Order: sequence, then structure tokens, then C-alpha cells
Amino acid sequence: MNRLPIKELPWLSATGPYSTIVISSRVRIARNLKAFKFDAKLTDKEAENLLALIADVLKTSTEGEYFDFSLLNPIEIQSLLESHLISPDFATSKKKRGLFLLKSGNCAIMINEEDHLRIQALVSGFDFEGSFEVANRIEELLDSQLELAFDETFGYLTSCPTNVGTGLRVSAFLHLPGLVLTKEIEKVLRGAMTIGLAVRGVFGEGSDIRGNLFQISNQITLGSSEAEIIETLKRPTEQIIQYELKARDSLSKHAPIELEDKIFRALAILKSARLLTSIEATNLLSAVRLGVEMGLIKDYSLALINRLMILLRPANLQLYLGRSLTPNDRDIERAKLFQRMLRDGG
Amino acid sequence: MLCDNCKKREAKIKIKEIGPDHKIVVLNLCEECAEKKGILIKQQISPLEKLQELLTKTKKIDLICPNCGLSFTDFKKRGRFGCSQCYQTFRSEIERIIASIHGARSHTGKRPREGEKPQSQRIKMMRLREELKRALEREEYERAAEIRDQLKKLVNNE
Ligand SMILES: [Zn+2]
Ligand SMILES: [Zn+2]
Repeated sequence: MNRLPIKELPWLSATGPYSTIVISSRVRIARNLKAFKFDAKLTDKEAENLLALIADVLKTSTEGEYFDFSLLNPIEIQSLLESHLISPDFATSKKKRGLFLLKSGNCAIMINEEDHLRIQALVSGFDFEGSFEVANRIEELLDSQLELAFDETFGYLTSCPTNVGTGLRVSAFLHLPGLVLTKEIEKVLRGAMTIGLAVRGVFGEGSDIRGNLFQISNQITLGSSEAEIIETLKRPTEQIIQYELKARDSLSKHAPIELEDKIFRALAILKSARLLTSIEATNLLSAVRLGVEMGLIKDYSLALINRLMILLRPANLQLYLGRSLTPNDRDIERAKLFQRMLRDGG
Repeated sequence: MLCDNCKKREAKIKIKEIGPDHKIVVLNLCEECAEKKGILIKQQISPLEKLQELLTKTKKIDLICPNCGLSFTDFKKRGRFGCSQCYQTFRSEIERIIASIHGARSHTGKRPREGEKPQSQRIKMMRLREELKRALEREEYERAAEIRDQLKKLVNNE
């Protein structure tokens, strides 16, 4: 894999609905083949047969590229993780694994993760339905040619009983600096949790580490249909969007100078720093992103900000520059990258 | 103050977590450990944690899946099945566990090789309704009319 797929990742395009708050919507469908044992009992030889079979079906029925993980180096694997195309478990697994990346760039199929198939679709903005349709098309294509493990009562059978039924996980990747700055984030996210949604993200007292990025997703996969699961997640996501809009509004009414200072100070550092760690760059980029999202900064597109958000990560940076770098060299090169990209406007 | 996790680096972030006893635990972490953790406020209890809890309470039985050789004891230990037939083999033992994780006993969603694909249709209609709403908001009336036609077709097919 000598080319970096992130150039063509449509989920970074910022073209979807509400993409000033929802960076992307993701759908993951877990499936297993009836004819193969699950992960816990699958031998390496059987895993190889599984990979070959699924890769073959995908290659002949849809356009895309297959990556055999035994041929990828650790930086390439890490880059796929940083670009949200594979899961952390898949990245560190010692098993025989493969990834099929659709040519359109909006769907990645992990083969031999915890389940034989993890079909992941990622689209720009707040669009669970659109994301589902992408993943579902691949699921139906595989279903028409392979016998999937299914039970009348339990639905689609998975390695872990927590994924059984629909095998469906729907999630939104959110940028919520307004709620962090107005200190309402905990209350809002706790609300989502009380209705059974999973919330991930890091925020600490006073420091907005990890770029004010959060993820919410469903946890329950059995008993609700696919459409119902999407509905369960849609309403609270809509609500969070409204809260975030209100928070941004209140900031620009009550603390416009402080807000602009934060945004333009961050931009100045990103444009002129000589050393940037990935954490610092992520946080500063969040402030610049807010400036772009609120129309305070007009020189850059959100797509460029999204691209930088992914490109600044260590493995992506090294692949982009085409050489491996020590951590200190990475901080230097990252600073150069920001200077260049923000000067040229991408 | 040193990080509660690695006990090496300076703690910079205060994190609240809900511990196993449902009490809020405060952790002081360095940026690296906080990033690795990736979770600030954990769920009250995640399905995976609930599974582990339920499995420790489950009685031992001498059952082995004839297809993959997984024993019920192995399943109790790791919480993962060895093959699709395990669900059949251990059915009476796992029904209660699955019901209590999901709050439901049976699947109501998609099925393999369905002719009509009601879920896919329903979600397509949901998407079209959203698109219609946005087209109207942007006053793109031609596009809105197109979407209305598509929706009508889907409704008639139902
Ligand atoms: Zn630490
Ligand atoms: Zn079995």
C-alpha cells in the first residue's frame, strides 16, 4: 500500500448535513459465515481460507482494493486506524486479517476481526441512513453469495453475545467545543448515557484535550430493528446538535472577544510553531475548526481542517512524507506541514 | 502530582469514572494515559461488563459444542462462542443471559435473503424524508419534487 487512502476519504469532505458539528456518521454491521468457526476456534489455515473466500466474492462483485495484513508494515496498519478505517483491536491483532476498501472510499470491510465480517461505512455529516445504505449494500451482496450465520430467535450470530441480533452499531463523531467551553458537556452527554447510549471522548478540567471530539453510539443490538436503532440514535444526536448550536450562539453573544481570541491565537500558533505534538495540534485545530464552522475564519475549508485532523496523526504524517520519523522529527515535520497547508489554504 | 495510571508522568487531567460499585472515582492522569484510555465518563455499565458479571454468576455445566469443541466453561471464562452452533448447544443456558444484556429475547430486524427487504426500504424512506426536509429548507423545489416522486414510488411498492 504505497498510497495513502486518506486523500480520497469522502467522510472528510464536510459535505454532509450539519457537518459543522457532526464530522461523520458511521455504521458497522457484524456478520459471520455459517461454514466457518468463530474467532476463538478458527485455525490459521481456516482463517486463510476465510480471507480468500471473502476477498474473492468482494473482488468479483464490487470495485475496491484488498489489503492482506501480512503484507502491510506497522505504519501502514497504524495509518488505517488513524483514518478510522479499522478498529484498534484489528490493528493490534496477531491473527490472519484482511481489509477490503471500497473504491468509493466510504466503506471498509474488516475480515477476521472478532467476527468474520465487520462492514463499516463512514459518510460525511449527520446521515445515519446514508451510512447504513452503504454498508447494507455490501451486506446484501455478501448475503446473496455466502451463507451467513443466522438463528430465528437470536438473529445474526456473533462471536460475542453482546453483538447478536442486528450486529449493528451506529455512531456519530461530533465536534462539541461550544458545550465544552460553556461547561455543559458533561450534563448533555450524561443525558445521552441515561438512555443507554455509549459516549466516548476525553475532556478534562480546564483543558480541551483531544480536540473536543466525541462519539456516541448504540449499545444494544437485539430486539430493535435496524430502522429503530437508527431512530434511537437520531433523536439524541439532533438534540446534541441543537445544544451545541445554542452554546456557540451564547458564546458569540456573551464572550465574543474571548472566543475570537481563542480561535485566532490557535491559528497563529498553528501557522508559526516550529514544534507541534499531535495532542497540541489536535487541540489548536479544534479552535480553528470552530472559527471556520462559525464563519469567523473564511480562508480555509472544513474539508481542509478535516484532512489536517487525520494527517497530523503520527503514522499518517510519516506515510504522507514518505519516510519514518523519530517522535521529535515528527513534531518538527508536523509544524512544517501546518505552516505550509495553512499558508497555501490547502 | 503524578499520574494515577503510569505513576511516572505529571498528572494534568482530572477524570471522573463510574467504578464497578457505581460510585464516581476521580483519576488524575497524564495526557498520554488519558489519551490511551479514550473514555472519560464510562457507561453506567456496558453490555460487555454486564456479560462478564452475568457469566461469573452462571452455574457450571458439563456441555461441549459438538461442532467446535468449545466447553461451556470456556465460554464462561472468555464470553466468546466458538461457532454458530454454540448458540444451539448452549441455548437454554444463554437465553437468559442474552435477554438480560439486551432487554429483549428475539431478533426483529433484517433476515438473510429476504425478497422484500422491509428494513432497507424503511431506512431508504427515512433518508429520503431527511433529504426532502433539507431541500425545502434550501428552497430547492425541483429537487424536492424529485424526492417526493421517489418516496411515492416506495410507498406504492409497500
Ligand atoms: Zn500516565
Ligand atoms: Zn461451537
